[in-house]
Amino acid sequence: MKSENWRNRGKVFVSRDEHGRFKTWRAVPAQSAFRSDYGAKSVAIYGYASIDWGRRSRRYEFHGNGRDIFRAVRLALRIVPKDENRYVTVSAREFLMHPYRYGKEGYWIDKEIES
Amino acid sequence: MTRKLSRKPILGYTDRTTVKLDFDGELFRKVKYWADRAMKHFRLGGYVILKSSRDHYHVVFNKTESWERNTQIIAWVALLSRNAGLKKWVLMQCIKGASTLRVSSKREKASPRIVFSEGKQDQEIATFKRWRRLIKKVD
Repeated sequence: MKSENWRNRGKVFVSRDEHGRFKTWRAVPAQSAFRSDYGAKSVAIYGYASIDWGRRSRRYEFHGNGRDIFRAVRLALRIVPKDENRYVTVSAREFLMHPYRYGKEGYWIDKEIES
Repeated sequence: MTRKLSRKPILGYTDRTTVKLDFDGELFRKVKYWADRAMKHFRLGGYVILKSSRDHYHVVFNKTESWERNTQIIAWVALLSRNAGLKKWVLMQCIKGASTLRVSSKREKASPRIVFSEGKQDQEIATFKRWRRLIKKVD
């Protein structure tokens, strides 16, 4: 398949036979589809939190649609990032499906922190 | 009188393509001066200033920029304005690889509110306002 620039479709992959006759085509995914994190807007949840003992700064960054983020933030209030990975950037839907992969039961602490 | 403990984390807005600034301990007229100067120098289209708390302001610019350009702009302002709080904030954003501004309330501080706007507001500022509404709804 070779890429061509079509006036109505933009950049597309096109396959042609040995005589150059058109066979099939498919659209080229946008660059942003390959780099979903780049330029993605996200909601950051940060602060000091404790799981078993002590207090450490932790942070979630959720990207995705509004409804998933809304639910993920509600869940993140009681499931705080694990000690092994305290700074988590994840899609809100992925976090909702597997919250214990990214966090553990704990609580956030009211303490001054920089963004 | 006992202070009610809020065990809530802080919610913020994070991305790489919006040019944002966080001025700590700076007068409003100086914040406006630097926002104006950065807007004109880098052709950023427009900006809004949000008051975070007394003498603490956030600035959000309208034009979409790459992260490389974004860091160039915020570092330029931080260096020339000589604001220690802004310098520290810029370094932290560079470590993270994305910039964050607080949207929710934080201890005794209320959530930042828009106090001034200038120029175009249709690109990143419109997106910022939309996300800000969502975050406030969650908070």
